[in-house]
Amino acid sequence: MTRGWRGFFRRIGISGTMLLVLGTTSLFAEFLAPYRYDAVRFDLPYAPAVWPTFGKGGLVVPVLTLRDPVRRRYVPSGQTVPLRFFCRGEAYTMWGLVRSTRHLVCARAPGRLYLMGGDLFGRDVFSRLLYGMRFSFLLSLIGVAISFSIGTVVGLVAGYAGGWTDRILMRLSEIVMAVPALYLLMGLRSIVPYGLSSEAITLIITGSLAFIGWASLSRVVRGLVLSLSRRDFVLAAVGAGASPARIIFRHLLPNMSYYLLVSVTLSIPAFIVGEAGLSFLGLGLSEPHPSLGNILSESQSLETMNSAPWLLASGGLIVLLVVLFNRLGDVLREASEEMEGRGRGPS
Amino acid sequence: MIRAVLLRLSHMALVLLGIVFLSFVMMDFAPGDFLSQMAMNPQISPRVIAALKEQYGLGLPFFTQFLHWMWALLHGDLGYSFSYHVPVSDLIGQRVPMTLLLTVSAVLVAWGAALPLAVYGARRKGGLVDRSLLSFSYLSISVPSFFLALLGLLLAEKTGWFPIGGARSALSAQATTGDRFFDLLHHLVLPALTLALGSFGVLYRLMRSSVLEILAQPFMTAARGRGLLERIIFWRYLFRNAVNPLVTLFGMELGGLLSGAAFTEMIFGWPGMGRLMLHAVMTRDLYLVMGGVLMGAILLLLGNLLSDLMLYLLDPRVREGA
Repeated sequence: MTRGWRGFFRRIGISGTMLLVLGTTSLFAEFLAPYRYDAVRFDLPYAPAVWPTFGKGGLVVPVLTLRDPVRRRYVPSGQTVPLRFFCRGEAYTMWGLVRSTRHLVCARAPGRLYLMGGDLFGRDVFSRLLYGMRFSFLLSLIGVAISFSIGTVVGLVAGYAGGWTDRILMRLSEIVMAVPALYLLMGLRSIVPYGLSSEAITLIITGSLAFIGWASLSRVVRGLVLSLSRRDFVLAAVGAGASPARIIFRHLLPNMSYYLLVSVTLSIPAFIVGEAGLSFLGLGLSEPHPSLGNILSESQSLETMNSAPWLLASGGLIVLLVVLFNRLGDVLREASEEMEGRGRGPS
Repeated sequence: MIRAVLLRLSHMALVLLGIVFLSFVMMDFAPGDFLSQMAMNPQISPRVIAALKEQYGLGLPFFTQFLHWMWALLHGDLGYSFSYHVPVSDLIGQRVPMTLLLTVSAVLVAWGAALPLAVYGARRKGGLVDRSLLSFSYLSISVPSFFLALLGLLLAEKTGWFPIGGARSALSAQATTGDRFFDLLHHLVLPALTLALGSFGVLYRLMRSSVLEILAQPFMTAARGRGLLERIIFWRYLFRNAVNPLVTLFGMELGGLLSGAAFTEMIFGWPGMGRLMLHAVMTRDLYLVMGGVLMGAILLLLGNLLSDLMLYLLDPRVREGA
């Protein structure tokens, strides 16, 4: 197997590479997005996409005027503003650390760059999608980390200890799995009062999703522990008097690490879709903060779907992320099966 | 065998008890109750609120409330809905048939399409049909149900082939029984199709890989070598073995019949359990929530039990092992 960066990219495949690109892009959302997610333009509701064109002195952005406020029909006013790169715009603090006013592109008012159209308040959908995607990434990664830790510990303890410990822990996981997930999410969400800060809501959504996720993972880990415990090398270690900690950390965990990686990757889509679903119902992140779900929920009415079909793009982005994570999981699984096949060979 | 089923049933009872307790704790933890919305209304005097609180038993300590509810449940009484002012069992009884109509028809469509197509695709592995169906199922797995339902709504609006939302037309009350039936069917098509599309992918992929595995088995070659009829090879050797892993999935689908369509119901305005539950959770209609969760959980557990039983009947290896 090739080593180094090229080997890494080959192993994660096209899907993994694309996910890395999307993730990195969303990390720099403040710099890359032309506008802040809550920068409104009340004079431009549901503005259509406005792309830069070549004009006087390089790239320019045409200025729109609202011709018909009822049907929201726009016409170009003939006026243009220059499109500038690495320019100074609205101030932001990236990751709570870096203060800057630099943006990749800007178009000064009265012009406005709408790469994918605008929403009811004239906010730039492209910028909001970038921020929303970052939220999805962060939430699913943190959520997976939580559910993964709980699931692994519970599964290890249940599988290794056996007996009553095993029975009680597995009944617990059954309870969590037997409540319909959406009801459980809605119930958990209602524990927290409305009108909290977005950080608190993020925390509670992540926690609820992780609370549902650990159960199935713990059963997977338990099954792996049970099957590995019958293998010769574990029996030999037990016979040689190795401590449980040594057996768990030196023999069991390393042997299931790849399998765990695969199941973690495949469980990320549930977090992305879960968050989007909650926000879609209005139970998740609330305005003006963007999430893929609440951007999609803006296009719930048929009227909006007709006048601003580009809001459906957030649904497309959810699908893209889910496809990529599913594909990455499959690629990793195929790679691990290949490795196993080779390991069983001559040695 | 009977012992095993009884053991499973007792486990189920324990799990159910855990579920209702967990849900009750959750509803109790949440700040406020059904009356807090009313209490903010200046036109309702605090005395009325207090009287209602007394009447609904919302002021009682947590364990007393739980025991009261459990006691009523053992007598087949699910309690009373605060917001609809009717017994919870009546409400659920009205909504469950609608949800079942939607989900059962979706399951029938999905299974009816996926199984034959998967057998066909696996037999011509790598062919055009197989490859396009595989990519299609990838997409079907990845599209969230709420997005698919939105797209369906858009389709209905653009083409005018299907009614937009709801389960009945406005005038259907005066129509004849036959017309009413077709009207309902017309409303059913789109939500059922979007639901079926969502579950098609998993089914196709699972059945396809299962058929491929069986096709590679030596007993298939042996059966061919003995010159058995193609029909017998197909039904008795291929299909019967290949459908095994799907039985477990069938149990899971059965469990999702009541709660799995929630998003689709909400977007299409289908008057089923999903919408009822969302409303109940939002308005803190305690006993309605508990009733819905209980029904959903019972169905899920029953589905698991049924699939295990079916596996036991279908697969002699499971029977010997037990």
